[in-house]
Amino acid sequence: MSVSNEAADVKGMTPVRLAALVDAYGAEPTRWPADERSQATALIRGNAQADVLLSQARSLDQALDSVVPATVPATLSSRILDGFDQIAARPSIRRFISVAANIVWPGAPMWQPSVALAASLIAGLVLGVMSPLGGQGRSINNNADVSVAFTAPQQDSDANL
Amino acid sequence: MLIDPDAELVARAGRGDRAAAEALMARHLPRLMALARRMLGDQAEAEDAVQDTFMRLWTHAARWQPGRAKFETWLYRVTLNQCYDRLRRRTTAPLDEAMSVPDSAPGPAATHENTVLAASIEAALAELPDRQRAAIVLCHHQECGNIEAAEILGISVEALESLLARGRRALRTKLGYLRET
Repeated sequence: MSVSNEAADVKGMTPVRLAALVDAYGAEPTRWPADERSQATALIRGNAQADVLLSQARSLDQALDSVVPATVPATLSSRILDGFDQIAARPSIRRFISVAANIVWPGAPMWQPSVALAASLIAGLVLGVMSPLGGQGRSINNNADVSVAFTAPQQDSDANL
Repeated sequence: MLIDPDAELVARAGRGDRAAAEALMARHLPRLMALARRMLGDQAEAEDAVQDTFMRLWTHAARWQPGRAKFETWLYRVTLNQCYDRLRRRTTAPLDEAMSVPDSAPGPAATHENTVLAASIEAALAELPDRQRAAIVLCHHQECGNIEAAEILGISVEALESLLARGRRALRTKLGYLRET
């Protein structure tokens, strides 16, 4: 039963691909691509050629592990935070907008308040242009004014006669 | 949708929140420093590269848009670019300098052997082409997954595997004793 399970696991994994994986990622299966790991691990079980391959890769892995880890001096942390303080002290329009947006719409990404503002602007413009009261009412009044302006002097002149 | 564990901190740092900046620094500084140190092989230069990376972060935090790319990936990419810039400015081969790593503390023989081994590995790493070294440092030392490492380097997973394989083969050749095992 275990043989058939292994055969299913190995499906899709070839010795050539296994060699390429070890060549690239080394001998440690946790470093292999997650989607190929189980098939590759199944293929190496009881495979003498794979053992040789893994042994060579392991030597290089161990050598790489011997590289001394970096230290983080406390002075570096304070230099980095000094840099933050300097930048935070500078006036910035973008930071002002970000703070304002967070007050109006807390926690939302910047684009959401921006889109809401743009949408309300467009809606206001569209309403202003399409509104029936504004345009038509004014033009009727204008026509009336014009007709009065042209007729009034004539009436006046008749009266004078 | 991608949930970025750093998004909230970046947004707060962008609004000038110092506590958020400190938290971001505490979370990422050790790994960025390790990356820069292994890429550059020099502590002081690595510190400068990481400091410049954080300056870029503080400058751009207010305009960071979550969802486009993982913040950590962006941070790694900026650090690598800082390292590439410094490597380009170098004129001499770093092998001799790296081989003469100072070892002033006279410790036990085993410690000395380890120091010599580490120095020879660092020297061999320093001799690799920059992109091969970056691929090895990201996948081996920083323990990035293949997809993340490829994203940081801006290449495909296939190209990453090619860089890794060529880099590891070159290291085995440089470190002659590994060919015998």
